[in-house]
Amino acid sequence: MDIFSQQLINGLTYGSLLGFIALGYTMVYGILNLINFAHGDMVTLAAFLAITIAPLAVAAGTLAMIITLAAVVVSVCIIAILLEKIAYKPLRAAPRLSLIVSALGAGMVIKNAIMLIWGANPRIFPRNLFPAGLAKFSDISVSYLSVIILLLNILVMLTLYIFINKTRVGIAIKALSTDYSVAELMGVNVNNTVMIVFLIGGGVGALGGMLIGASYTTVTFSMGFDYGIKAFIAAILGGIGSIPGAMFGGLLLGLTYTFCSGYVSSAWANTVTYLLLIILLIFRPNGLFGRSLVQKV
Amino acid sequence: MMFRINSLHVSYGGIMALDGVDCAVNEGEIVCLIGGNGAGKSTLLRAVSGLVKPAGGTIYFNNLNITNLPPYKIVPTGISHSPEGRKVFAALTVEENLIMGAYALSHIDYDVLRFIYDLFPRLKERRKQTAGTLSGGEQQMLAIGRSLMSKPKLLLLDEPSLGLAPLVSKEVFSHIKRINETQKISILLVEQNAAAALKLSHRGYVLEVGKVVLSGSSEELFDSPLLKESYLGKKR
Ligand SMILES: Nc1ncnc2c1ncn2[C@@H]1O[C@H](COP(=O)(O)OP(=O)(O)O)[C@@H](O)[C@H]1O
Ligand SMILES: [Mg+2]
Repeated sequence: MDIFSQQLINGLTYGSLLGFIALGYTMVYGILNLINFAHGDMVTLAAFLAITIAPLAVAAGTLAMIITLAAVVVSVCIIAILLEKIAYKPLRAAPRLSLIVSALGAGMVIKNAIMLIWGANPRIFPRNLFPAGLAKFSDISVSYLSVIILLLNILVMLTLYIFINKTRVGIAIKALSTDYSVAELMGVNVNNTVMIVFLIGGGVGALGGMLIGASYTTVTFSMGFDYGIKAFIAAILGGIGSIPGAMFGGLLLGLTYTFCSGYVSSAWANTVTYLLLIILLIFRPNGLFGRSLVQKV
Repeated sequence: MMFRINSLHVSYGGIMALDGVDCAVNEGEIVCLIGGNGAGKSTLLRAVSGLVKPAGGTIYFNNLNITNLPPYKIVPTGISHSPEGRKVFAALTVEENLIMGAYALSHIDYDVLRFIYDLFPRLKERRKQTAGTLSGGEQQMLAIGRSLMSKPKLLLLDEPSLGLAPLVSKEVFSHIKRINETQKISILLVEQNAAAALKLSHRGYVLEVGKVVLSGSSEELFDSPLLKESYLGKKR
């Protein structure tokens, strides 16, 4: 298999993982104008929860994967909702800066809790959670995990697209992200809608956390920072607030990063990637799918 | 009395914006709220629709105490608020804006939609256009149309003539009258343009720094020295 196809698949896989995380940043930002800095740590938490839950679920045999995924996603959704109720909701009318400080604090609390519970050393992610092995497409072979990640990416994107555009809750989310108080005047239940956004962001992020664990085999309590920052940048690239933007921003960042590592050098990958991104943002300050903020007024 | 506010107090971080306001709207009435910049007019409407929590006082609508209800529970009781500055969803089309207005009903009443399009034929012509591309007057009509979609019994209008050319303002006012007459919708109208507002309304209140300083029928207010001196003189 040639190097280009290999890099392409790696880039798309990595980009999808970033996209899963970016989604949570972008949706919360869309309605609360808040960068949820605790989000990356929630993603990490999902990976660690899977470490604990997977061995318990193995007794269930072939259903272990589904049970673990479901249990972790549900737990993280609940924690995401609690995070919003405890750390953000009381501050909704406060200046954005207070909210950001609260987000940073919440992130630290989660990160340190992970360290206290699971330890500071890297932990091995359960190998049997996702099917191992390679799928062969003519002369290209792709790991089953990559196939799963790419399919999930497409599935999540389509589901959310339909959800946002065709359901009542989706329309409420759209209205809230356009104009908070006017959405209220239309009769949108703000608390419920915000809760649903945290639930979706948490759930998809949890999926991302487990897939990261499976892809890189070890996880550390502090990994949320690097993934969080990259996913956050992916969200900005796609246009913060835009759901397809988060997914495509993730892919763009993943591809750029992987091709830089492959064709330039892995030492330069970060530098070259961010240089390209800065250039892109100079020409498209609102990202790929972003609304112009000027027009919004 | 269909709508009544008793001794309403609202403060923003300790600063009183409304200091014991009483006000009422009867069935079928247009009542205007006149006052200068910062008098508390928008605050009053925001308190009624639940966007700000009153510090004291009560708001009754059709014998229902709505004082501390959140907006999403107030809209279905039949109160609709068209905010200052129109605030249409600029990125959505005209029709999508109108459909958003029906959110609280959870279904779209096509008779109301037809009435709005009859009332504002220009909205019908432009229904596939994004709202951001409309003129100021058209955006105002869209904002009013959107607030009608929830089938209100009481319409709160915050400065519908703001920033509009005199001729366009006049058109907007005549639409408001028509909505009131044909749909039997009561209207609480906030205006800085006192003369135009009084011409349209049955009764009015004058608000100054959070207090009602004068109230009465529109004729009485027209002839009052306070209005002649402070509000009607600088007619645009
Ligand atoms: N969100 C807010 N925070 C703090 N003060 C406010 C806020 N909104 C309005 N005010 C103050 O409350 C008073 C009344 O404002 P407002 O109701 O907007 O007046 P009007 O609509 O009559 O111009 C003003 O002094 C204004 O500065
Ligand atoms: Mg005002």
